[in-house]
Amino acid sequence: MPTRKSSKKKSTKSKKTTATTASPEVVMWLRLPKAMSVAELQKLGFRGGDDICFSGDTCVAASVMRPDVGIVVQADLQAALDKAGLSRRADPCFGGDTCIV
Amino acid sequence: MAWKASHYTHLIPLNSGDGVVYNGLSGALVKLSPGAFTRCETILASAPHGKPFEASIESDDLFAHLIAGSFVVDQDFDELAFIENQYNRERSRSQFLLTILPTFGCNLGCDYCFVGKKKGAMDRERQDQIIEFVTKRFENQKFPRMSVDWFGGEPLLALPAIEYLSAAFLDLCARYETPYSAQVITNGTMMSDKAVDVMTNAGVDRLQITLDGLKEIHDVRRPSKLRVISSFEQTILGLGKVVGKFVIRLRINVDKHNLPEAWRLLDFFAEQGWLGADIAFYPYLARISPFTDACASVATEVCSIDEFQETNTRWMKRLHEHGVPVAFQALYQFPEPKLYNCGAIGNNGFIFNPNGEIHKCGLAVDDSTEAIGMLGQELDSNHANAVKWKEWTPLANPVCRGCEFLPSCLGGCPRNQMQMREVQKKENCQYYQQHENRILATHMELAQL
Repeated sequence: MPTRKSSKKKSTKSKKTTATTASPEVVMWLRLPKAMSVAELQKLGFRGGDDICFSGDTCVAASVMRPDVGIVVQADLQAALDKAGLSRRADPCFGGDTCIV
Repeated sequence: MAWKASHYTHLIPLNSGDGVVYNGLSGALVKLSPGAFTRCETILASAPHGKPFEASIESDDLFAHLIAGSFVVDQDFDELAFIENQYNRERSRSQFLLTILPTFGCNLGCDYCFVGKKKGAMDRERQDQIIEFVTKRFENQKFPRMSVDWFGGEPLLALPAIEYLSAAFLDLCARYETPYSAQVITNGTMMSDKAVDVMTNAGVDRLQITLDGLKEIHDVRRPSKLRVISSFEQTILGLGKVVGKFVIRLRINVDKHNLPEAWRLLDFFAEQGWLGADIAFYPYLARISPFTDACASVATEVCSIDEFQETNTRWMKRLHEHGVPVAFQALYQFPEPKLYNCGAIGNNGFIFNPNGEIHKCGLAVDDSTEAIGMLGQELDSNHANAVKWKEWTPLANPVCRGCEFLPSCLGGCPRNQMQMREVQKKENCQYYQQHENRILATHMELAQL
């Protein structure tokens, strides 16, 4: 699972970026559409491990599960929801005393 | 390869200047900084209405992200056909989803209850017939999971039935290596230590309990049939026994009259120490609507969708301030692509009432003319009541076919569509078209990414 880039790498990149643009653009992946392979993630600039390449003027800023929010980038949404004890709204529900639909 | 914009890609600007790109079909979600969001808007606007993008635009490194999230798709990819295939496939292999009413009896007399005036509890013969029904299904089919909703009446008035049936279900699921979960939909007033033990042993992990306000409101709207007892006080005593032991979805049914009262209830929960990150106590608002003839009298009391959603947004923010994990939770309307939209249209969804009737729609469970069969008899798949659910599809509706919210809506409640309930249908469209993206933006705000 890719994670945030190291601060060491960041400082190198930041210098380079600030020399050319005032504020680097950010692409923050919050939910992948499916379980993606490392190769697919690498195509997006994710490298895996602690070091992520922020190539071009788009960068991947968040790519790890964060405990303070339910899901950020993660491949298995159902597992995360199960852990939280909640079900997807996509689950059919027969309602209760009035229906939530 | 040529690319086109997905019909289900939504660009949602945030107050911060950032923007969100969401695709209702793939579920992919990306947050972009202001410059990247503007560039994304420009890219998508360059090829409107399914036209192909210029090849030169593919050199933009943002384009790889758009492909990865299915925000843009192959020019030849028929998204509608994909949805239709997925819908038909998933409803046929849906989870084994049972709703069981072990009794029609209830100790409360709520004026808006959609269950009619039927009475009676499920006897042991009916319970054995349910076990026989479930066993036969397991013998003939592999299910991805089995879920049971205990409903009523008040299901905790029938603890022996829950105990007896759950033991059989757990045994079957163990034998066929099928995950099992169950929830109880209860008014919370019958929550004895014995009930907690029975539910724990019965594989129940979630409770849905309803409060309509503090004592003076709740006791009027959900009065105990024994008028000398406060149903509010009974429910609070019951909650004290289960908060922290089960996931609690605390439902607050709201209409014009009690909408403001919900805030006082929230303060009360905070005073009890029930709000927090790890307590699994989730209070949520539910808009009362006249679902059936039995509750048609509430029609003039219903609050508007706009009013409800405005309150609901503030509600989520207040919960967030109290540390309740609201962001990205489906219970708080975080958009999710649906595979199919209702247990009633899934092939493996059944409802059993105390009289032994088998139903598809929970809202018709007290109407014998809507039953698809009887326990103890062979289920006729050609029964007219069964066929209407089996054959219903939102893809038959031209409005749904063209709608950019189709993957997360799938036509809404099938019953409303079948019965041509125009007000409910219109409100459903209004919800998705006017509120879904705003709700998503609220989740993004709360996540504070």
